[in-house]
Amino acid sequence: MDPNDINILVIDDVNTVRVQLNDLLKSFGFGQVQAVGSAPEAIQALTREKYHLILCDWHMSPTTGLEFLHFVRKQPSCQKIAFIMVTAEATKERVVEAIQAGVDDYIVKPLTLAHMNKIYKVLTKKQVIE
Amino acid sequence: MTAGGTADPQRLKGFIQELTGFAEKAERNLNEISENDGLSESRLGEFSEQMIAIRGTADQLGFPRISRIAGLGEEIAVKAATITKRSQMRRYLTSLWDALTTVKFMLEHLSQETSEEQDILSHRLQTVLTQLGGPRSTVDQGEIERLLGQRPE
Repeated sequence: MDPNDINILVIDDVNTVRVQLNDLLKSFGFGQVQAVGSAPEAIQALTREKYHLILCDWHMSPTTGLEFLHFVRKQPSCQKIAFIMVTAEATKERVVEAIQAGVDDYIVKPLTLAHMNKIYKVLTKKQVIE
Repeated sequence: MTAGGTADPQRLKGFIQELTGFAEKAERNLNEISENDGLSESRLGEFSEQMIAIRGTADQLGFPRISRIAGLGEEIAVKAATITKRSQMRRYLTSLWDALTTVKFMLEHLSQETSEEQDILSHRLQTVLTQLGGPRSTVDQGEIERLLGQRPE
């Protein structure tokens, strides 16, 4: 699949970060990026569109990124979606919690071009791209 | 991609406004904490959340100095939440105010070089954090890879 056809959902309650991540992903050739500010908005987006990848912050309210990850992993329709936590949270306990909840990868902010190979790796493992 | 050196000025202004908004929320929290002599675990938790939002966003934008001070404020707030004596709490509240006012100053004066006062403050906050037991341990990307590799397929 062409990166331009991969649907990515970015969830972060900070608009600045949504804008930066959107720019970064587009600069790397990902053409379909939807950014929302909360898990409830993300759930609405998931009902409207099929996504291949979710990039999600941890610290959000009313629903944290971890709670949203738990939700996504319980949805039969979302099992194939790659989920990467992108967060300033870097304690071992949080990373382990996310892994146990089914995260595909975990990136500590800032997300940079250097992380794009991780994103490609996850998408390859999920058979979204070859 | 960072905003520090190359972002469109109007866009950068919007980014800074958002960060300042977090700092103002943190200030309201700190005012409430101060009125209760700090013994409010939930308010300290909210303050550390605002500091993590500033830290993460500053990191993404390429403002390491702001990230560092916000990070120290965050860690002190997390550790201070376990303190039960008002007399001890007052001291840590001062540190939280120092961290917050410095972050606000830095946001207003982005183009200025680090001042000696900021370096001294950073060192002082680090000392306070050490007295509280030091920051929570964090993992680097290498350790994260290792943890990911350990999970059952």
